[in-house]
Amino acid sequence: MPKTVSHGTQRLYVKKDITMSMVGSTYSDEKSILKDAFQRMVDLITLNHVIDGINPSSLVLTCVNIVVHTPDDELNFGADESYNLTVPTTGDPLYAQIEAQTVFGALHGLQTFSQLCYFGFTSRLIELNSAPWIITDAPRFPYRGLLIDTARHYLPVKIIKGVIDAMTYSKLNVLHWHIVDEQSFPIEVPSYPKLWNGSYSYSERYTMSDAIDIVRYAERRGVNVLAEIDVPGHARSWGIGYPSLWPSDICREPLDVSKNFTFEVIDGILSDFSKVFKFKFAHLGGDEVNTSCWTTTPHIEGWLNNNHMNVSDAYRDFVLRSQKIAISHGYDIINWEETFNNFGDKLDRKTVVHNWLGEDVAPKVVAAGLRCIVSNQDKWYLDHLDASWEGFYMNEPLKGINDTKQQQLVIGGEVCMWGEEIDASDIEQTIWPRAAAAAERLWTPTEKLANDTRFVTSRLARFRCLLNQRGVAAAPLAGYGRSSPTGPGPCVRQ
Amino acid sequence: MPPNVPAYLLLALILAGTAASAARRHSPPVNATSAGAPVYIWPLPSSATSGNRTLTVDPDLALDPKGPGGASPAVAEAFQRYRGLVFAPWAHAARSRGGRYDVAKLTVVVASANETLALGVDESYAIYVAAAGGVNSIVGGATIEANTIYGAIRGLETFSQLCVFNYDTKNVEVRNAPWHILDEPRFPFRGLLLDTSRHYLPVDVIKQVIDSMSFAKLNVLHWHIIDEQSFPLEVPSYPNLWKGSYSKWERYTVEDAQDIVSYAKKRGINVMAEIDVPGHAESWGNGYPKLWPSPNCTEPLDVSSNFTFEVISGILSDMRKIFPFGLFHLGGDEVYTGCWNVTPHVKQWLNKHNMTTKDAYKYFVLKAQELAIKLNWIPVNWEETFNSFKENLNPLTVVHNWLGPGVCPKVVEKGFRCIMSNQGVWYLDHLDVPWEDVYSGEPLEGISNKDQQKLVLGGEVCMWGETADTSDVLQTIWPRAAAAAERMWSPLEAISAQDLETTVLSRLHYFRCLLNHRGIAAAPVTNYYARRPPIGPGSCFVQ
Repeated sequence: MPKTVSHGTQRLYVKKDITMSMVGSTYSDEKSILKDAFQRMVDLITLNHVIDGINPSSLVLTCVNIVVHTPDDELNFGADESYNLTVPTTGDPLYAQIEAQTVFGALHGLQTFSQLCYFGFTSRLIELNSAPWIITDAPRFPYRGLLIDTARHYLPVKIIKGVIDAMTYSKLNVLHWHIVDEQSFPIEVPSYPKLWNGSYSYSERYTMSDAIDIVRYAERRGVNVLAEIDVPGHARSWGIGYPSLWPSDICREPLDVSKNFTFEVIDGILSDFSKVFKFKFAHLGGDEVNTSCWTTTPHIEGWLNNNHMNVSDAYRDFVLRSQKIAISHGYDIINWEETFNNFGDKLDRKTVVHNWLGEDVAPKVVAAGLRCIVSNQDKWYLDHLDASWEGFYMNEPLKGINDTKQQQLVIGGEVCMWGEEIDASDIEQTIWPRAAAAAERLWTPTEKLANDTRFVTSRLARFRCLLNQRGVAAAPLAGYGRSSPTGPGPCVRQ
Repeated sequence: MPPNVPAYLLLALILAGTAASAARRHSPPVNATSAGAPVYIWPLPSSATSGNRTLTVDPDLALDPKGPGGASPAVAEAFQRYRGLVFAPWAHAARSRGGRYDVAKLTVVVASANETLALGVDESYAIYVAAAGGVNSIVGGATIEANTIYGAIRGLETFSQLCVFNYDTKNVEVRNAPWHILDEPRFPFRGLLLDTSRHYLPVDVIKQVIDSMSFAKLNVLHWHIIDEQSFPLEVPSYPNLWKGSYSKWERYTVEDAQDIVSYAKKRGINVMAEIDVPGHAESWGNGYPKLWPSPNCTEPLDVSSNFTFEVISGILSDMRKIFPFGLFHLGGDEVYTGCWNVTPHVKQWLNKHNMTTKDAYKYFVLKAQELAIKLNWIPVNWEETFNSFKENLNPLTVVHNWLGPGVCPKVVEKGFRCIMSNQGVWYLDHLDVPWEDVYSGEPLEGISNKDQQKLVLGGEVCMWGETADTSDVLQTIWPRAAAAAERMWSPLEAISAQDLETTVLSRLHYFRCLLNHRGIAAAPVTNYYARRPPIGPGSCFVQ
């Protein structure tokens, strides 16, 4: 739901070959970001229908003029995503206008415009009801994320692109790519080519070119890609190619804290990543570190003793040393909340703490002056099939934070699609429509959010049908996540 | 042989032919490469010989069209599609400058320029892939030879499955070359039913299903458009029928349907439309309540009123302009005639014509058949029509089995043609049928007479839509439909020669991963129940 909306009662028709202009823009669209987005928008509202109704002599929108005020086309964290959209009922020619500070704000304006339009099966024209429209809009949070996990199951590039497309329909803007975990290491790392041996199979892999392709695809749609390596706890697969990263052959996790080689590899990975993943942040994981292998492996036990460290110290030092490496490659760091819970005062001050365990963490993080991303698992973990869309909708990232300065430290939230039971066959219907409920929570100003989800049901059902129309396998609202429809019926009632 | 095929090609084909006939004498298993590895082509070709060389394929692979049909836009379009499937979007940019590739062009020789797609169209093709200077080859490169563009399209699918990406060199390669493949389908009718009445399926989703069908060489989309729940298709002659759609968005215009038909045709897939009369047609009456026996007894269609048959005739005439396929499905299953008996004016009509409800059912079906035949359609009917009044069915009728095994033998014995969809193995909405059972479904089971065997046109897997919508239709169809697709395409001997739990399973895993790679949400193979999520982390190739 946009920030402010006013509308009238007039039905307009959208000309079949509606054009785009950029009168008044200081943005040149050299990379064709806007032009391509406009074409995609036209395809979405046309949906391959033959548009051959007779246009009335007036009330026909012939053009969308897009005014972008800054020439920059690099997607950055905190980029101005606001836009104004006006659809008037008078003018000759009649044209809609999108005004935005950046091209990425304009992309959101096009998404909103696409949701005003639909194919009229009787008029055989694209209709736009309730004009004139005046919409001003901006996101509440700069970070609106979705996590995908390509380590528990490999996801083909086509599938990831499908996820990115669907994200743009609900204005999510960060794809958190949990690339690697203990089960598999699918991505190519030129500096340490054997890491790739940790992939599930010869072909369940991403080349660097694939990663660049994905990042570029996302950026052109206003979506940042946040890459994660989850150290030291979730990294067993690294040792398939380099067994010396394991404490020992029989005790393989966490990564060997005692060896310089471990940090050389991390440096190599992040150095390679920095050429591909241009987002301001890198995610370094740091969750669920079970350090027992460090104490049971003699050479590490010896190293700990020599350095007068216990395993908690070693865990802390591992995380902090990794942070320094990432910072040296120009990244700001995101870490899972265990790092904050254990040694929050030692974390680099630029660290963003990524909550997941419970819902009372963000207040503590921001009270300590660090930034926070909210993903409390009880509400925003998509792999929890019993987490309802109502719960996704009502989960408030600022809950328990009253100080406005502290509120600003919450940069947003993220829904997490962990991959243990997710592969190419069921990812879309497990993500949608529940992720859309969270997307509204993250975008829409508090005063416009529904206090009672009963007022959301029909809008969300509609949005789910829209996703279906666009070829996205969003599941029915009823039942647990990704439930099949229980019987025949119209899309909006399921 | 087309007159303008260059001599070197002829020679290559003759040599290849010799190799193939030699191979047949030694009858090597078609499911294994020369090195003994499984052949990862789904469905298995009729005959294939391979070698031990690895050939690189140029990311700028060029199409070299030959023969009267080679230059058909359909071939060029299919070539582009497959090039997009085989190569990553960045492949062209990564191409080594001045690099030498073993396969730089794909010659496609098509003997006929006729683009008519009909039941029984020649889908055979031959593929020859070899390196220049190889012992067995005259010239390097890849050639597909077919009599029709549809054979060429099948060949392109097979060729795309021979191409694999090498993650070390970043090249696409054909391994185990030289390859020589001769292939043709066992049955001319290899169908998949989609049901857009229980749940509306957006056009885009139907197109995804059509794409995926072409990957498994299925060739008939049986579109069960309408049923008692909703009437999503526009019928210009009777525009109120559309009021039976679930909502004003869950509809297909005539042009949408035409778009689907032409999209399918480009992939060598026929669209067989169905109206299921008189039993599954309640939604018709939303626009024309007179079609119901009465407002409180709404099914089957009113047999006593001429208007009923006028509407059927109108629908059929309108549909004839959309669906060029020679077969049209008239349903005829599950007809509960209770409403005819309890509605006074229908009962009166029955009495007047001295008919029982059973007679009226027969009368209805036969009359609908005549209307379809008049429009030059071959009528297809569900098996209840055969079971109830086989002696009266029009001899043109194709009987569509579904209730159980053993029906097609009876059908062909009476001289009718048959399509096998035994629900015990080929109903995809039966989630408790694992892939092995689907694979075991045999359309010719119980038919030993050769002439009778020819009356079995093939089979069809049915994706009834009660619990299948956009969110789950693809993973309910795949990978099980692929098991039936191989059964209907590949030679019976080749199918029987494979070990189910080793060779076939690993090949099906491979094909399922290929579907995923192409963006199709095929479910894990080895879950007992269909469309279940993977049971835990793991490789696509073992789940």
